[in-house]
Amino acid sequence: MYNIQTEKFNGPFEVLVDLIDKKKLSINELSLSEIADQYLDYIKKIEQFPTEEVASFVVVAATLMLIKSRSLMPSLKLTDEEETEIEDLEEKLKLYKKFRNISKDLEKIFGKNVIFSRPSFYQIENILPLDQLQIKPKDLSQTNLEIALQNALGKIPPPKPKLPEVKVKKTISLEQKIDSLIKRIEDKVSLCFSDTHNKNKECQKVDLVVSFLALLELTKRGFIIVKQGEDFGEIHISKVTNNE
Amino acid sequence: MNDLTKDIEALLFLAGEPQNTNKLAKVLGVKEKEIKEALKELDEKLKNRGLVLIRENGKIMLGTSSDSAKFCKELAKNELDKKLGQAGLETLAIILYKEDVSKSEIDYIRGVNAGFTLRNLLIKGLIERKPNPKDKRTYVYTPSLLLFQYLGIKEKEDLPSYTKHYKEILEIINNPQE
Repeated sequence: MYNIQTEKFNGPFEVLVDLIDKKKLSINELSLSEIADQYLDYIKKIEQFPTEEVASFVVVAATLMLIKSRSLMPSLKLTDEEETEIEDLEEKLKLYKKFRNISKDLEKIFGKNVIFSRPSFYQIENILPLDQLQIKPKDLSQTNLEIALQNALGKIPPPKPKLPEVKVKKTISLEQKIDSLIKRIEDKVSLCFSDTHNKNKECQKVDLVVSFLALLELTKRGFIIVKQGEDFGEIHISKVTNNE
Repeated sequence: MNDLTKDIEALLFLAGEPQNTNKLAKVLGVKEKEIKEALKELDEKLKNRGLVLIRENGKIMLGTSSDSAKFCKELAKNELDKKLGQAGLETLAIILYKEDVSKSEIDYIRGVNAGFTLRNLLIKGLIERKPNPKDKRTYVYTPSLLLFQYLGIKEKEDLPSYTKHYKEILEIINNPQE
């Protein structure tokens, strides 16, 4: 019966107005309650529902259910919001129907007594196909096109090389470092920061950072005291004795 | 016919596409008000002639009288694609009878997303869009003179029962509880 095509798809209002028109009723609560079931049947039959329109169909369906319920159970009390919903739907349908009637008048006159105009003074050149103009651009040649193509291609920047992504290897955890530091300090009573980390080049940086963090953490915890004589100089670590 | 009226007639004939009154004023070196008065005279003089003046919202154009449409069509061999579809016609009705209408207003009235239909009408040149004076981020849609040409009307007021429909639409919008 009703064919769904994106272009011709008209939405819930058209379906409702069609149903009401078919019964030769006017738009009001009574006529809406009479066609509520048909509207729901119609929705059920649609196989390929255009996704964007589902919501608008369902909203209308909800209002129709409300109207239908009240017609079956007159004692049913509706909230103010629900009352407004029903009034809104009636009003929207009336407005829609008005424009639909106008559109039918337009259809009757559209394309019937057309007012023609001259081809635009500015666009005459564009309307005529090139070969009819008999004016060939002087610089249009295979060689020129090839040069133009090469120029255009030369302007495309080469793709940027991607920076290699490197995963930071986890060599040693902060907790492990803290434990080993405590152990070493307990053994030695005092030691230099340069002794605390691995000298192996590959893991040097990460190890240094972790060692330093461990150092800071231990200082914070009050296990050790650190001293540095000069900027970037050697850091001396000593254990806090209980006497201090 | 005074000289200004003649000059306007000549310019409109040559241009063949809609001209703005302010552009004509610039070309002819007169005030826009004078152009409007001359246009009134031209419109008057064109009665019972083969040409008509079409206008809408400051745009004007010279076209053939819709009374001669039958023969013009034959000569122009213009195969009109007359099928706009229900959605297209309804959207045109809204744009014609409600001034400066936005997409959301059209969506609201028709209960569906009008995006596809609006694009289609824009491509066909039947409507135009301009920035919404109330909200620069959105657009409002207006009829084009090409639409008037297809409808065979010289101005909006020539639309079927324009004043009556216009009044009734306002009534529905303003008095929801009848």
